[in-house]
Amino acid sequence: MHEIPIDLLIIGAGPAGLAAAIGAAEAGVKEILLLDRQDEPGGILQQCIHNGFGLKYFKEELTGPEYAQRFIDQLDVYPQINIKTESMVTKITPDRKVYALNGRSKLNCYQAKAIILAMGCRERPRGAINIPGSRPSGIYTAGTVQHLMNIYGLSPGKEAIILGSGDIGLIMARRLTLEGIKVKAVLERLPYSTGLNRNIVQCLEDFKIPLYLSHTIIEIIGKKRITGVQIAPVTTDLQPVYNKAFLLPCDTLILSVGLIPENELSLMAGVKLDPNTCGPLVNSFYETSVPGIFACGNVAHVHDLVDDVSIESKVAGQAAAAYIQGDKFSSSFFKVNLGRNIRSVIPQYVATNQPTTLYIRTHFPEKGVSLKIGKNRIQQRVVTPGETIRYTLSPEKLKEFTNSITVSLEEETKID
Amino acid sequence: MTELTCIICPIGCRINVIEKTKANSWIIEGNNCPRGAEYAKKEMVTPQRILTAVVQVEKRPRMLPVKSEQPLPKEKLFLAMQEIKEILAKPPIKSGEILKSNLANTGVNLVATKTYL
Repeated sequence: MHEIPIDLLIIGAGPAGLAAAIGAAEAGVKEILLLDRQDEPGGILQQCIHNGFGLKYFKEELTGPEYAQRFIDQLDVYPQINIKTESMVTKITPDRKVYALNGRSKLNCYQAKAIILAMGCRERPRGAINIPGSRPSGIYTAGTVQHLMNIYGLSPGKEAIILGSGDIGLIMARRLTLEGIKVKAVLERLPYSTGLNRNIVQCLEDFKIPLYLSHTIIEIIGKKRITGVQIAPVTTDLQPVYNKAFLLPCDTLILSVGLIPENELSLMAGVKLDPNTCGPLVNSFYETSVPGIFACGNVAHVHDLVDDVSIESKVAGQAAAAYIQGDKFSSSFFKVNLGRNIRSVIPQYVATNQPTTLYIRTHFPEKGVSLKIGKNRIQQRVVTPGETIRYTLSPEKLKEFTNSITVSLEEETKID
Repeated sequence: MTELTCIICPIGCRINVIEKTKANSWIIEGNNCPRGAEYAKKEMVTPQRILTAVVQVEKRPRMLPVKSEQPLPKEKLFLAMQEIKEILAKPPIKSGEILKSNLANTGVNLVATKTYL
């Protein structure tokens, strides 16, 4: 098969791919190709019509499509960046060959000097959480409802129950309510919401939508169409209390039960994954375990802010540029160890001389704790698994470490 | 005392508002920035929200995303939604273009948030 040579190939033209392309172009890469399976760039931002994007990156509040457009507009400045939409990558090899179906018929093979993985993440479906019951219509993931409503103007039903209190579920609770669809309840298995606090306020409390913490669905009822769900409270070890179950009628069930980085292609290329982030192990340059293959955005770890995706993806783009140009990276790294109440940290390897921002997620919510990294202790008012903690290690701070960096949350006062 | 969660940015500061004896005068604590204090004051008097939605586009299968250019009083959101549902946008439309002025009689414009050629 004829191979098309390319300097930098980026898989996915969502916020990560776009920012990576711009970062690489600014750093002097001559030929950049973005492949995306949708028919327009921007990724999932195009269906996120709500506002709240860009406060950090652009210092103003934008909607998803507006945020995407800021980056798409910048592409005009860089003729070296090309986008092929309706292009589905089917295979990547460790020696950086990329096979993609362009349009509906043509299979192309690209030989890239460097690859950036920017495929984003996908939603956990019903099958991933094993809810018992029948299999009627009317069960959707929150992102699917968002796509149907915001892109095509279609309504998913009349009376909805939302399982999971992640941000997309909360955002959709508000969106459905404004469109005249009754949201009867948002259910959360955990004793706390996994969404941002601001979304609990502006999406649920504003519309008096009840949030049932420590509750889950034990059965889906309905033949052709869902007619209701059996709901039960759960114990502290998350087991349903069956004799306290109650029926809530509905014609729509929306699942917002977590996002998983989409790494099938990464695995084909031999990229090693971190079981905690479900994304590739990366270093300060967002380089994976395979030289010349980089990963950024939600494919690397699920972010709560797109602004952080843009910031880290620019770093990945610049690093890919340095790799293509044959510049030497730092070759020594500190491994990041997870201490008390730390679920994941990215990057997992910190270059010994490179300023690096750590993105930290916790296992459970706590008050009155300090983030401890080496000698540094930073007081945290509240930590929750839904909100990333960020900490930047300057070259000055990096001097105290010798072979690894342990990140932990240390108690100062007992939680009330 | 009223406890609020600031919705201005994703940090979501927990703000305490303590009423003073004088009307419309408060002690505001817990905000990390001046915008939080501003939010808390507004929330005590007239809570306001930006409204985002989609409108139909003539002869096109896809919807056009829109937003209120300024925040609307919370109690006007559903009235504004009724007006938004009546709109049929005619392409070409540029992002930022006004699709309806004086939304729900608030004086606020509804604008497109995407270009539709």
